[in-house]
Amino acid sequence: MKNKIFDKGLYIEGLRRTGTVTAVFSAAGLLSVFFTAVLNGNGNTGVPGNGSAVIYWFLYVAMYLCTPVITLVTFSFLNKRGASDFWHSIPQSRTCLYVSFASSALTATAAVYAATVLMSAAAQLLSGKTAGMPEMLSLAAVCFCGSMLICAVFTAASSFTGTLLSCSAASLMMLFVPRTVLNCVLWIIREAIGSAAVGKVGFPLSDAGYNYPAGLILNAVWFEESEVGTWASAIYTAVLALIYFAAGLFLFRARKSETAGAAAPSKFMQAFMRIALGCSVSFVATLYLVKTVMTGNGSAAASVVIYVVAAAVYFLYELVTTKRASTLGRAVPGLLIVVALNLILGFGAAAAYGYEAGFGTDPEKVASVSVRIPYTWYDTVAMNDVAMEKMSEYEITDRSIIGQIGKAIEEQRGKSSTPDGASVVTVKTKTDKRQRLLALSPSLVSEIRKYVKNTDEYTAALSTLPPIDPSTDALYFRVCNTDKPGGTERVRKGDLSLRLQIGNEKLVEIYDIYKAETALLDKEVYADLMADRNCGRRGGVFTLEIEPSGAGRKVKLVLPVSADITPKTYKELCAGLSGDSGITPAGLIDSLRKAGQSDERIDTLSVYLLDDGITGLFSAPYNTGRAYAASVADAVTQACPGLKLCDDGSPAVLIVMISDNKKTYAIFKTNETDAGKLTPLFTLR
Amino acid sequence: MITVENVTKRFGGVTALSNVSFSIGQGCIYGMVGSNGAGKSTLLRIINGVYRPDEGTVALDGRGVYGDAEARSRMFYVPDEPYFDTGRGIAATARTYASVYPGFDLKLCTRLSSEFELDTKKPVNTFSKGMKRQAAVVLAMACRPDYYFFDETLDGLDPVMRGHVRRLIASDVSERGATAFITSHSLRELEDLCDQLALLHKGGLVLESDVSSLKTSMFKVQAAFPNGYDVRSLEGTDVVKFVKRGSVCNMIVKGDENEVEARIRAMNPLFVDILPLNLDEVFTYEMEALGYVFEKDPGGTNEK
Repeated sequence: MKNKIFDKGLYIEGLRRTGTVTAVFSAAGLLSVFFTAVLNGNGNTGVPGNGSAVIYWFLYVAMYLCTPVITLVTFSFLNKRGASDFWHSIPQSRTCLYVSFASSALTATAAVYAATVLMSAAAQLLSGKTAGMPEMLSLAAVCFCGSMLICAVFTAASSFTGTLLSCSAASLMMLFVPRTVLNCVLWIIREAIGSAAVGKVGFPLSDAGYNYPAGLILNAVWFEESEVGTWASAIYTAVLALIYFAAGLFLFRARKSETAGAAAPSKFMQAFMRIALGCSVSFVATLYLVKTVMTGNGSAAASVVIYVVAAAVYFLYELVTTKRASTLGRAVPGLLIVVALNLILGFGAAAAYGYEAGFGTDPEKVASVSVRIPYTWYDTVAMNDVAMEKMSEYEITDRSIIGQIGKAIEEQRGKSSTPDGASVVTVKTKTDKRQRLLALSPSLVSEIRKYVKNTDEYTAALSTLPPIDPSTDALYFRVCNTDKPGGTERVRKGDLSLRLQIGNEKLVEIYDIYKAETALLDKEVYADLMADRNCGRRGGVFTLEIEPSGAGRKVKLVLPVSADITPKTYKELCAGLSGDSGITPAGLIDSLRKAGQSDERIDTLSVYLLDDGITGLFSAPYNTGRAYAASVADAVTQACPGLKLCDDGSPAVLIVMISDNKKTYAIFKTNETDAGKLTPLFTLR
Repeated sequence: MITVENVTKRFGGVTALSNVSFSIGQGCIYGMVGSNGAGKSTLLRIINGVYRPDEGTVALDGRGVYGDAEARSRMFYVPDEPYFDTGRGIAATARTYASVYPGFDLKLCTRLSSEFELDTKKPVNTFSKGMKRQAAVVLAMACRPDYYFFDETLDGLDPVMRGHVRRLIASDVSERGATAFITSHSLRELEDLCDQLALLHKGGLVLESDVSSLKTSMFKVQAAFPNGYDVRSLEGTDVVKFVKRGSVCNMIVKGDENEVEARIRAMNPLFVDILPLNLDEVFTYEMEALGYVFEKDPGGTNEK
């Protein structure tokens, strides 16, 4: 028999040990999901955003309850002397025993997840309501990462404790205390600097949400937006779980079998556990006290109460685990260590508070500031917005701006809410940098913009249109139909401004023409064009999705195409659209007539005049379009007897018909430049 | 061969074993007796790699046992309170053992369970203490190890089952060349089963010998002298215990029987009898010599 690291027999034995618990939890999950589906009568067990969906709740139960129970059952032999001796005497290495049993615990937990998720998926599939399935699967995956961490923590704790109570206490401390203390520290710092978000304070990964099981609860307490539940947090949680598993393995290999039944393997460990528990509670009091003293908000009495609770917990743990009152006296010196650690934390937190609160307020110490001014539009930006965004990292050394920002930091210190439209300001000293969310005055924003726009870097950023990779990027050309920017008509009747896909390759070719054409424009004309995010003032716009800040947030960049400013591009687009349609004017008119006379469903029928400032002519959404189709055909024929395919940048008519998800469109040139000639079409409304 | 060298084990401030050294050859039955708290169970746990000694080593054929799965695969340890999972019978427990011990013989387990009339499906935790030990013996035998370690296993069995277990152990030792290490409070349980005996007291090995030597190493002398007796007359002889009742002197003596008898006869006694001791008495007097006495003889006088 070799010293293996994993043994199938032990693994199966581990599964056997948890069989009953796993079956009970799986059955509970299955039945609750099943009955919810039946009671709802629609199989609906997981609607995204619906917190009452039973599957969601059960996933949390699986993570917070089922996982620790399964892990404790698997490693329960470590709490009984006879059992511990037996499993330490078997002809397998400690590593093999640990790895095999930990794998069993994880597998049993996974089985509970699988049973519940599969049942829910089946109910959703049978009911045909699968909208929530991706989100459910995603949540299940993230929760399972949380389960991995909880399993690892309990496994590690069981490696250096010998009773259920001490194991549970140690596990909960390992799971929650580090993040709680860190969150408390960040919290008082945030209180100090007011408007800055917690996530923006501290070091990388200091966001409590990264630790999913702890972050989920801490965020509920702090009501913070954070990384909790993201894939980043899932990965962090899984990696942390692996670290805990490794630490647990190290401790398990060193574990003494005689620890079983004792709260800790030695007096030192017993004292360590007691002190850790005492600190866990008293740290909260200390941090709250620091916050109260530094900000003047809060109650010192609350801290005193928590200190008393901490002392009670400290001695109670000793009493419960040793079951002897005589050991309480021995625990007193340890209390001094708790006090000393609290003093260190308190002074440390106060120092951090002072440092953070005063950062950037003294212009003499500030080397530069960078300002990210928020978009005024949520998801649609013009090129000048992108250029300004690219300049958000630009280090402004203007002393007047630095002074005004320092003043803003000072004025907004301690304010609890983050103002809308706040700018992200990065303040750099010679050795350090910090980010703040600040509400800057319009005059200061204007001054910053002016300063930035006068730089060569901004000019370069504005003139560098984003490159396009046809295989990964989404590029659209959109025909504009209204001169009412942001008007409700355009927004609500989305069909009026259709995205027309010419075909990726062709569109990229035209985009390259556009880049070449705009590069030759006069600087002011170019700047004016690139500041226009209003589709309606031009013949059309390129729209492409970009990530200007590189923070994962995608926005739509609007690049206007105009018959007079960019005629070459406009012509190419008209040609591209017409060519791509592959139909003749007569063909489209015929198909309109046929559609109008048949039972064929027409989802959308739209007619546009393509020219600057000319609105859409006609739109008949859904099946009402059919009733008008023939009339439209007649009207177009009568109003524009000389219709022919567009071949230059002159005014043209676009007709779009969507039926059975097939889009038919064509652009026709009119022989009339007078829009009045097309008036009869309006009478069809 | 198992070699225990200078093993010391402490629990907090208590030294459970102190500098214990001995060896167990293959194919023998080694018995160890000791008072309560002598350290027998601790020693067995150390030998089986359950506890790590604070000092010293335990090796099986030259390989350290602690942390060595391969060495432990040749050993099986039956503790004084055998461990069984709640709700699991012998059959279910056998499956666990089969997954852990490479040589586990399921058929033998079934046969022995039948011999002991044990219900293999009934949870072992519901068994009586004696039946639990029988179950533990059955499972141990089925593991077919080279070395068995029984911690007071015989002590909790009724005479019939005790005899059966002794026969099983003896036959396995003779047929397969297995080695058995048995601890007990009762020397009588061991004296006609073991080849070697050791006495552990307060964590120290105070005696180790083959059984035949042990029986002859100590004897009882009864003698009466016409002019009284002066214990100094036997100076140089190891008198473990001396009690005088009337004119009759009773002595427990260690040493060469013939030599002691000659020295006493030279003192012209009225009579002298040399009586052999059974192992229980040897154990008791050895323990008394070490100061382990519960009750002094109320009728005795002039005790040494």
